[in-house]
Amino acid sequence: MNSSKPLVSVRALRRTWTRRSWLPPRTVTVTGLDGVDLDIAPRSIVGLVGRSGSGKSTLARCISGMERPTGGQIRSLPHNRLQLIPQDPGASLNARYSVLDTVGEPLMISGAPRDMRRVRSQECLEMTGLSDCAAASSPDQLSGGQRARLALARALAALEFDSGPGLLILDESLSNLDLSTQAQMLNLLLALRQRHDLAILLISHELAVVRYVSDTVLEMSEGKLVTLC
Amino acid sequence: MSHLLEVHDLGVEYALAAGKAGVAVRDVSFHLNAGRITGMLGESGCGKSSTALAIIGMLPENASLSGSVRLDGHEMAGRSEREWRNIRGSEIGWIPQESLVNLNPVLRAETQVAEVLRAQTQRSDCLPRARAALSRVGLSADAFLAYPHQLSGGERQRVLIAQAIVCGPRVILADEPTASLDAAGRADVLGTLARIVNETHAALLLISHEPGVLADYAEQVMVMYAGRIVEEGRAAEILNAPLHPWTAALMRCRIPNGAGSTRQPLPVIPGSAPRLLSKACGCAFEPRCSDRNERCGQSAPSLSGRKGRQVACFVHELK
Repeated sequence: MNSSKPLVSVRALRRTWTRRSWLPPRTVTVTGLDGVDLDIAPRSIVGLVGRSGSGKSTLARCISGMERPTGGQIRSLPHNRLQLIPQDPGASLNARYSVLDTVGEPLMISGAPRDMRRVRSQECLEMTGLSDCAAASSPDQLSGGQRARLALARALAALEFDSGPGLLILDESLSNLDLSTQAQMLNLLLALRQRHDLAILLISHELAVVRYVSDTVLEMSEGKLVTLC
Repeated sequence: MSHLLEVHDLGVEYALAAGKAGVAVRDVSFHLNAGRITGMLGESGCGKSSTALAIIGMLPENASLSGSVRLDGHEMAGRSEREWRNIRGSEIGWIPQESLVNLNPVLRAETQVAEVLRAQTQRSDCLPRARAALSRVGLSADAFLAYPHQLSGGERQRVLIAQAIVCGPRVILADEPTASLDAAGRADVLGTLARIVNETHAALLLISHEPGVLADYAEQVMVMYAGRIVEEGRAAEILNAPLHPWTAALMRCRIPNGAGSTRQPLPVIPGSAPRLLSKACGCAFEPRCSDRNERCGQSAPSLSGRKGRQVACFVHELK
């Protein structure tokens, strides 16, 4: 573990939901996260494994601010330094957006001027090895691996590297890829980390994948975290 | 001995916009035997699903099919939708990959399975038979009444298996049945499938992009690349000693099991697989192949070798 100040620090995090059932009439509390402590140091790769339903995605969503925790503290990063790449990246792409517009969207939202947007989008496509796909009019024309890289390029576009070290959260984004594509993505992530001081939280149900790239591997089980290696 | 399902010179072509056509599958021949699990390995977009859809007559409207598919000697290709309705489910079962998309969110598990029977059976028989199928795939009685969102991914996948087997098909096609499951769910579903094949003596075509899935369960494996079968043989032979350069490269991309945090760049297959091919000159893998020679770009190799272990590659023909 790195001794410098963590990018993200989570203490005693809890997330519960209440469900009402009518027959019998009662309120059931469902626990997603049950007292999670986690520090992510700059430039570290933290792997998170666990069965489906164990709370991995809930933790990712809490850290990225997409979900409000029920209790505990989170010290996290603003969106220009933290991005989440969802499971099934292909489904998160707008079929009516061209490849260039897809990458440019976060820049448009942050109010970047048009010519800067184009330059930056091109840069991010180059980083992910997609520059020759820029002409494609829709993500439908891309292969599964290219779509995964496009989602990564969009996340990179939203990160501002000069405002400090960032964090990428990959929530099972590599899970349904072909083996060669998965290897390409892992290589790309390792290279990006080197070049841009990125930390990565890699969520997956495949221990072999996670163990190969991570500094620390954590396992989530019924809302609690255990360190594996 | 005649085979239960024989596919001969199967070709699938999709009509695209502007009068163009894309070939998804070409010259595919194989057979399935009762009580056996045959694996099909390939990258996404290589024609695995098109092959399976052609066998069960569910190709989309813009697809055209050539070649023949024979079930017990009866030609399946070119049947009408009306005839297909009696074949699907009762002769050929289908297990799709996405359980959330393929289950009706407002029906209980047992109703979903009973619905499949309605085309064949009287209404009063449907529910008891559906429950029998659900317990056969290992679901407990409380799960019978659950809605899809109340079930785990593995349980939902088992509901899909129950749907596929409830009419007692002789051939089962499973298109990436474990794609969205974690390791425990995967072992669970594959184990259930293997047990069903053993009990019902059905022939199972198990389609996957992961060699690991096929290694433990399939006996024979065929490898598809760009719409053709490029290698076939016993599962252990193919996965431990692959001959075709694509299969060999794929096996190198696997993350070594038990490897620690080495962070060495992994070997990859450069480039990407061609999608919907237009012309047929040269081996489709030639642009990405590290063993290519001048012959590879000129004509496409066909499968050769001994019976039960074949490969479509000029490099191996020479040896």
